[in-house]
Amino acid sequence: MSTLRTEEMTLNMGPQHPSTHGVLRFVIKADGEVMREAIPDVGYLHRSIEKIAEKVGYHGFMPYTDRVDYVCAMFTNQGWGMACEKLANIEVPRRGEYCRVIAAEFNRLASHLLTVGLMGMDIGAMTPFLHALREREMINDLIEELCGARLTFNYMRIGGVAWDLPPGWREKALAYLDHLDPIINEFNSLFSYNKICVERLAKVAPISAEDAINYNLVGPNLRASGVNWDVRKNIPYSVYPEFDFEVPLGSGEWGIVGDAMDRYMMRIREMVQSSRILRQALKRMPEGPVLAKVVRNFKPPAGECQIRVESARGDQGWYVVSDGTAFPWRVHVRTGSFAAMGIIQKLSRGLMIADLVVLIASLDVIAPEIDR
Amino acid sequence: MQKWIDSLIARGDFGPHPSHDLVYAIAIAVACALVLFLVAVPFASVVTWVERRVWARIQSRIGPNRVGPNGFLQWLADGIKHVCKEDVIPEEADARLFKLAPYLVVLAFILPWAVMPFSSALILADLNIGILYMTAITALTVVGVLMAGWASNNKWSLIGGIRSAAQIISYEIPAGLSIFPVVLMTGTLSMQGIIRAQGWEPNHWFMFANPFCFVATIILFVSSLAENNRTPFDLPEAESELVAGFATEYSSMRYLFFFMAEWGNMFIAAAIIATLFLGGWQFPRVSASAVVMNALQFITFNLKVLILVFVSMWIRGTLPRVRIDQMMSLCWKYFVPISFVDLIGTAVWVAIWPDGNPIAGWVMLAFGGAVAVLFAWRVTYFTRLARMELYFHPTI
Amino acid sequence: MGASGSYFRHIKDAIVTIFDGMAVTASHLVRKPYTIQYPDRIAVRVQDTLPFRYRGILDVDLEICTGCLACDRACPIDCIAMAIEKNAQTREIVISQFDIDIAKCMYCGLCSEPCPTGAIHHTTEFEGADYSLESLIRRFITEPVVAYKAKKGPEPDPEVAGLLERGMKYVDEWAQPGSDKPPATAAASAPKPAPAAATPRAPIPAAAAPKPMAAAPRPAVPAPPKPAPIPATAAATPAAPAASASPGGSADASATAPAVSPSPEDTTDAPAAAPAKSDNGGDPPADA
Repeated sequence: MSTLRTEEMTLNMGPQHPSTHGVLRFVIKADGEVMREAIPDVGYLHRSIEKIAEKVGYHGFMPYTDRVDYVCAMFTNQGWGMACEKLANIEVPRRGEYCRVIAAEFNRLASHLLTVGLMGMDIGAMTPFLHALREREMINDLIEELCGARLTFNYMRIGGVAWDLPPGWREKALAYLDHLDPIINEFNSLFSYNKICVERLAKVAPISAEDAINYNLVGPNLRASGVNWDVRKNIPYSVYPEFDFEVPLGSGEWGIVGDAMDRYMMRIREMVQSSRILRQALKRMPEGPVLAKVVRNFKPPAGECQIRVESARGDQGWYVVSDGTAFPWRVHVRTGSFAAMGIIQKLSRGLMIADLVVLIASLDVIAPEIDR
Repeated sequence: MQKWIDSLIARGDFGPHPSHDLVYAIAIAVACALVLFLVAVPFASVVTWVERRVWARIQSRIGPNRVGPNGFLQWLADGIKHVCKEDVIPEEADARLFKLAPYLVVLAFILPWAVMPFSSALILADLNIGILYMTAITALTVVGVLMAGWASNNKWSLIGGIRSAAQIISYEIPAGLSIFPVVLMTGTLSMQGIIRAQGWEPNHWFMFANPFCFVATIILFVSSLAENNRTPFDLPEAESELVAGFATEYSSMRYLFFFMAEWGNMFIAAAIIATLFLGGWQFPRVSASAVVMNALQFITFNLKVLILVFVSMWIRGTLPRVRIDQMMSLCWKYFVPISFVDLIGTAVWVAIWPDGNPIAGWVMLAFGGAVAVLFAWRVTYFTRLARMELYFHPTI
Repeated sequence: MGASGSYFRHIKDAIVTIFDGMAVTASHLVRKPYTIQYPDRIAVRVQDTLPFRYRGILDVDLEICTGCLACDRACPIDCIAMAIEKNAQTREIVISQFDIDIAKCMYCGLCSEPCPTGAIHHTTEFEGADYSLESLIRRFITEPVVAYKAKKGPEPDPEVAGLLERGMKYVDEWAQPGSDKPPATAAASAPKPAPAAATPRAPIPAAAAPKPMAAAPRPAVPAPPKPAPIPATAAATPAAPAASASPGGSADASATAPAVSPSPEDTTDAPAAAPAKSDNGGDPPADA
């Protein structure tokens, strides 16, 4: 009688899948339901955006930055704008900075709404996803009035923003924030505090603070592990020092510090903080121009600069090298999702297949940001 | 019905010397066909439309509303589309088992209709093992699902099939254990017998007869959700993980068979609960005419079943999915012990009060009413919190 | 006690949270769906409810195009192809080709920003699907036209004046570096507070109140390869289906009137502003 062969299955959670956030591929070595390893395979969405920058010039690259991470495009706009301003020593007028912060924080709200909704959909609850998207549609309507587009905004320019706030927009934005705060509580009652959701998310894939720093995680992923690092507070830029807001940290109250539930709740709490920043910004907007004078033929002096922006996915780094011509020599974006892919292989050992989906959703990876 | 057919034979409608067995067999076949085509299959089809509309309203959107009045013929359009699709069988799949699996699952959906007590006179066969028959037949689904998952030659389908087998088999136990308190109280397994032992007033339903039966109702409801692969237990067809689980490789009508069986099973599970715990077709005696009474009882039964089906759709729109190990621990660590406690508690209760305790009925009904009032308050709290526009048109 | 305590706590947590969740979804069953049934079950065309700054398909008003090629230079994808000739004697610019490939266009708005007169602008059209790739190259010039030259005083030709005024409104929306406050035309309609519904933008049939420059009726421009011209029923009164539609509807119809009134001072400012504006870009104005 031959011995029973038990070997592990190799599954392919392919580029086409309903629940990887974008075009990602995982090669899963599984023993039944429990995984030995999940090896990510990225690159399906590579579009050579960084190379394109060398062709289109400084002003022309701004719409391309939207496509680096189309879910939170304002931050990439801001990063590029700040990098060019640092190269050419341009100062953005105060009202322009306020417009930037308002647009960015609305985008953070929209991005986090999408993330928490996707978490719901990935673990089987379709309803929270649609509720979150409904709220996100309202933000999209607001931003459409502000800059004319709903997803790839191209709102900011080198030296400020392209449009000032339209009349009546401030009241609408404040009315929306009044509408949103109870909806976040309702969302929590429906989904976040639900026992099944807590059971699915708590104690799944905890990341210790040391691991998070070693693997270069940023943003809510890092803060969920207890590391207090937020670029808006630690390396302040723009007018963020003028606002009063907190940086939520993961505390492991549902399980272990740095587990999926912590990462998920970070985003809910950051939404509340963004709402706070927005109210302060909208009430205190100064008068003045929103765009500094910048020549059409933008030729910054030769040199390099490095900028960090706190995007919805974390600390986004921009590195621009200029050689004095109208076209940049090298542009590089360092995004939080790319780093997060690195830790998936380590964390997936011992997880169940159902937990892999939770892990990806809690790390908030967005495929275009990984591959650019 | 037998008397009616006998009178027809005596009148000579079937010829001078018909074989009684043949006439009865044909009559039964016709009756089965009537039940299936007038009730079972239309229900399984129309409920897809209802589910999509209910689901959509929960999600702040409108469901299908284009095909037919208010989208009522959406199921017909879907069915025709599926029939016209290409029937794909994977190359390495075991073709015979692959094709047989949907039929087994549909068999498990069709056979229990024989003992469905629509009213006091409308039941195809009042078997004296009625409820046992139903429970046994619905367990046939496991064979079909496992066959589908394995024969698909697809590792994801295999995982889905195995999950489903584990799930259905495990949840048979709390379901069966929750049926026993009722059997203890009535002493019979026949569907009509159980319904006749209850009254039409809510406090005479078995759900409110004693606190153990109240809990047993809830356990039975959740277990039947698990048996039907409904959220929160829809791991076998977990859309986000396994695309469609055991049914991934199926296309066109075979695929639809699986899901028609799932939705049809919802009716059957709801019928079991309505019969055992909610008083079945019981209706106060308002008329002497048997036809009127039967019609009212038919409506009552269907109403109770449809309300339970609505609740299961509502749960599907609310809750996320549990993981396989959590589902197992839920069944074995929570449901099975609680059902045992129910069983023993009911046994003690029946020993103390063999004829039931009317006060307990009122107390439990009051408790149930209090829960309902609390729920309604919570609903108004959330509605006022969100400050969104109210809208009471159910058909838009 | 610890194990059994947590056992019952799990049961209690499950019941309480599931109860809450079901209450939330039950309350959704009595709320209005957020869906807008585009394109056939809405009162007003969607294109007429979009905000003024909406970046839809590009359109060019050739009557006011100065042939400065600023849009051609600004486009990062090179989807604008223009050919001009400068006539040395008459100092006129003749434009012989103006093609925009809307299949390539990424609707970024970088071309309409430097336009001195607002000739190239985004419309609110977004339905561009067609059957052939060729039809997606919009050729705005059939025979060579003379470029527009900004006048010193108000524009005499009323048709062109209308186009110019609409174009300058478009141009004024863009941030003006060096100016101290948002341009005067934007404040033409006083900001009305949002209607009583808490949602900042009610579903499409109720156009939200401040829409000063929505859908001003445009005179028909002769350009055969253009898509089907937008019917001039832009200011049609919407049949109010929902209760909140009526205040928005009347505001929409009346908003076009005050939007036109500040025009006299605009047309005087516009030509003077045009050369000043092109200084901003650092290019010498093409019509020196």
